[in-house]
Amino acid sequence: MDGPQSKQLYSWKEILPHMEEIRAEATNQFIAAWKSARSRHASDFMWHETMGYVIVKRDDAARRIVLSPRMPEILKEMGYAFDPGTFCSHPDIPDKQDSRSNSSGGTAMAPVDDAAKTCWRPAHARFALRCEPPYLRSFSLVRLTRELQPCLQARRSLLKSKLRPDEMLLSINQFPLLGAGTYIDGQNSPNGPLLGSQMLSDVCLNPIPSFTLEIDGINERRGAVPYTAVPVFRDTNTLWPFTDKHQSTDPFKGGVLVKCDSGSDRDSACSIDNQATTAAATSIAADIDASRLPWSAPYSESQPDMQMAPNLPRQPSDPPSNKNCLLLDSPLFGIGNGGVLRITLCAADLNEARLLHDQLAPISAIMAALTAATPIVKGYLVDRDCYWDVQCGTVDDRTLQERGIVPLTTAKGRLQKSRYGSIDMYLGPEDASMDLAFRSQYNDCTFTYDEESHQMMHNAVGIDERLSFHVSRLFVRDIHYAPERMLGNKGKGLSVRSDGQEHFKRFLGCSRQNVCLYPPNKNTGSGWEVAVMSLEVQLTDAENAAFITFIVLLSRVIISYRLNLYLPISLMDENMARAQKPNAVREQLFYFRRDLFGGRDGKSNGSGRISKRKNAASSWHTVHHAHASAGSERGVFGPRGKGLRENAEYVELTIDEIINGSTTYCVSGIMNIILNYLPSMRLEFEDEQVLRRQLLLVKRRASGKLCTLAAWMRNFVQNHPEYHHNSEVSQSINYDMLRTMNDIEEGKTAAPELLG
Amino acid sequence: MGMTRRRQVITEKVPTTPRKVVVYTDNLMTSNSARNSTAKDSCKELAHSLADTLNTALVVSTSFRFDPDLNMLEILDPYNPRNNIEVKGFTNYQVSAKLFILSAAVDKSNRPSPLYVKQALACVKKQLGPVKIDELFVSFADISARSNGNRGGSMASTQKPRNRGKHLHRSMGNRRAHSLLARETSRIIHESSSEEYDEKNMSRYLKVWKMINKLKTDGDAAKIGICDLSKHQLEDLCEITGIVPDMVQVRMDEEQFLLDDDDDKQDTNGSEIHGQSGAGSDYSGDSSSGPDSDLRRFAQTHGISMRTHSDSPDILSNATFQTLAADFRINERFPTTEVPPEGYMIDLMRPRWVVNYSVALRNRGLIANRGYIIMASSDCVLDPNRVSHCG
Repeated sequence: MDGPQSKQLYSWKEILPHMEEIRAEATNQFIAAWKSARSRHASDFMWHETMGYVIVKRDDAARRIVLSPRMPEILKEMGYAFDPGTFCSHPDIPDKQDSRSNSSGGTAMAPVDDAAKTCWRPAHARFALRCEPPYLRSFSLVRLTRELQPCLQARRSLLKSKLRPDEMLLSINQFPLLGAGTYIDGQNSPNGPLLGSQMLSDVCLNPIPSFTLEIDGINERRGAVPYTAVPVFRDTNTLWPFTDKHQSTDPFKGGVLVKCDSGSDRDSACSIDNQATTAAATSIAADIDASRLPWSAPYSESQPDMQMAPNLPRQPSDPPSNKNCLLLDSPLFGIGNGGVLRITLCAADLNEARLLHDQLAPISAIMAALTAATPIVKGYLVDRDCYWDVQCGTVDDRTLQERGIVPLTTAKGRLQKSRYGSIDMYLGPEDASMDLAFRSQYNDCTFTYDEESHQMMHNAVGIDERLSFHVSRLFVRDIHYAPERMLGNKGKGLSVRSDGQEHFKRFLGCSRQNVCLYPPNKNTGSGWEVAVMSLEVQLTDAENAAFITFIVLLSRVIISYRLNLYLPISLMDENMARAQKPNAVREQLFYFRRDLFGGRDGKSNGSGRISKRKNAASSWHTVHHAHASAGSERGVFGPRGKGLRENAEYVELTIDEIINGSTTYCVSGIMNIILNYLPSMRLEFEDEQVLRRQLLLVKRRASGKLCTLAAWMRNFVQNHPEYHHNSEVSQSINYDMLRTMNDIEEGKTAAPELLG
Repeated sequence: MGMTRRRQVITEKVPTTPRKVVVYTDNLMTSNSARNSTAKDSCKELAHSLADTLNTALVVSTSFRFDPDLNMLEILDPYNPRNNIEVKGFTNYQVSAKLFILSAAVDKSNRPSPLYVKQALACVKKQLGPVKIDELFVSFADISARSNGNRGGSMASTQKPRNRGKHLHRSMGNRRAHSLLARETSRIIHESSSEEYDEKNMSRYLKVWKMINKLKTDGDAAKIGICDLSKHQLEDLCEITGIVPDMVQVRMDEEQFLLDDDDDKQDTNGSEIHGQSGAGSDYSGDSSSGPDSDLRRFAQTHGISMRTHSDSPDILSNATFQTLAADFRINERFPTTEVPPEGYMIDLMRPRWVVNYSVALRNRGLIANRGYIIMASSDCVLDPNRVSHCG
């Protein structure tokens, strides 16, 4: 359609003058997609997963493991050719005929053939890659249980066959020593021309133009390097206040800490800015503070109809601080994460997509805690088990104005969250829907949206208000690069020549939430899709298959039972912050809706009341040490006692109670609902057994009987003879740990505490 | 599946001969009684949804009708419109049903009566429309109770304390029902352990099984299955009738899927095994996890699909039903005008069968409709006051 494709890409600065035109074009593309799918209703359910891996190189003599930057090489070997035009490609819709014969015959493609057709994709980091199945997976419980795990395994062994003998393939979220000492093969001096980072060598970056332009774009747009601070875990011998021994220069000299960061920023990542902003920062400090607590923020003009839920909690939280934090100075720390685990679910129509988007969002924090796998950053044990906030912080490209450090002059408005973060708002059902579970109070956080595109969608076309808010919210961000054809005739005037959605997809890609809504695409034939982004990738394929299965089944259960999981956005953000704390599964409480079945008629369960408890650690011990007798004592409640508990709309629950249910709090337990769903699917015994064992893994992770990978890693380090209890993870500890992890993955070492 | 819960108007004159009552629960997927579905035991799920339905149909509104053809009173949930497969325009759906023949569903010679099978099928079709049942299972209360009684461990799960909240119907008297349940189960075992129940002799169930097969040959059901048989019983049944089921279903508790894990089992069963733990061990003896290996081998060689279920051994005990009937004054509300012959009396209604049906949209992995139908009727029995005055 475009004739000979030009590989020329333009940088953020070059496209900046055209940004509004591109926004308008992207809006039109969304409107076209929305219109084209209005009468569409998919009869089959399809889904796919996206996974990522990291390659490391072992030096047994030196007891050292470093990253191996050979992914581009390996991708080439497997026949991957980079083409910016297909970069945003999408798994194909399986051939109808093909999928029918597969699902009915039960003898579908062998996992090995299946894996051979995997779509490999480059990652920003040169030591990582991503992959997806080449086609969307048609849902069938039988195929899910029989084929998914073998396919993941076959894929992994295919990839392993391309490795050198001293290399290992790991599905880990981030390499523990990235940025600390020697961490990558062929490491050159920092501050290279590509990354400009004091910590990361240029060899880490996959030098594909779009990746380098994206990183430049983030830095340039922000106007400074987005320093991200990660609080260090304080062990008995940790020097306190903490100093990072890998930090050669002190970025705080001549800089000032501004309180601003990723989405649920309470005590998470912090960012540093240049001296020029000192005055501004102090002058509007109060303003920033107020906005930090979403429930105390003034109503923004952008959402006059959105009421705040009454008596929402004010969380006592540590003020953000750069003290005792590690600093990361490159967006590559975030977007260059190694492993990923994403599940994309195709909805039948827009209404179902909205339902899945809304209902899966409150679950994402729970899933983050259950899959936590990143307790070590840049060679230190950190006070986090998940990488979510780090990722959100490192890619934060908000300008000083958008962050509220200098008064607004040119920016579209103050932006509360980074490009990556938790969702800003629920979509709610379509206006005509009879589903009354959604209430506008749930959208209790402020956000900024692009007024023009909102007008285009809402007033001119009639897209309902919430959906057009949701979409126009994307257009407050900029895209960081654009191919020539998006700009038309070499940037002179904009001619509309695109594949249909390229502009819109760029904006989508720039804004990533814990659940993402993707519009239908006529070209690929895909419908509305919802992706769950908050899971951290697990070490073994058995675990990954179990969590994928859990999410896929949960999506079926949400629609079948019309579950109501709505939680005000502010509480969801708070959950996301709690989920990342060390050992969150056992030690944290999460806000959750008490009655998942109520409120659909719009009448019941609107109390908005929250039943709070003391800490979870004590209750976890009570439950597990005095199992039978605990019942009545463990309910730690406010002064009003039990009656309040049953009338409460939300309760603070442990993950065990959320997943496995609790009689004390009258919560059903998501797992119990899934188990109730299974019999109607009429599985053969053997399949049911496989499925139940997968669910058992999730169940046990939730109950705390099995630990998360993060807990396992933390434990490994702390019990390592060479660990000095100073939070520092040395090369040799890392070597032993990653080797053991590789052995666990290959089944050579048992890890009953992790896998059961 | 829309969210519409349009109410249908069903009011008729009180019929005069309520000797048969059929209750159709609401659609457990879309109604508020969905929360019952997280009850681990299906007997609780059934009891709660019956209570919900009776409450809606008899207390909150009036929703019953008399069917002169089947000569029975139907109590319907006004929010669960009939024939909603057709109404909603589902195309790629699969209907499965499990028919529980309760211990009172017997003919004059005290054997399970095939008439109840026909009756149940008629009721399913009334509820779902003219559908073909893709998978039809039959379960005999005495067999299930017996096979379960041998197992011990899983019995305990039916006695777990109720984990329901306030949203239950408060007059359910559920705890009472459950304490009765254990006694009731042992009564069934006891009753049936007399000459009619012979572990190896399946002749007692012949008629019903043949009727189930007739549904298959008539095209009402695509696949038929039977529940909780031992290998010997299955062998016997196939031998006498020459009818091999397409599927067999055995009870598996969640824990039994994972018998290799002692820790977990202990934790879930915990203190709730009331002196029956000894009996539990001989079941798990021969296969580490899953159903009896002899049965599995037999099924495999005969091409029988092996299924599991976690239904309570006694899905609806007489005691539970009597509690419900008393709570909702069913006998008083629908008094019979029939005059029993001299020396006889009209007995209390007793539950005869239960059907659990579900409509799944297989390609979408969704359940569209799921519910229960139960039938209870009263017999003409000898009036004990007339025969002897011992009270």
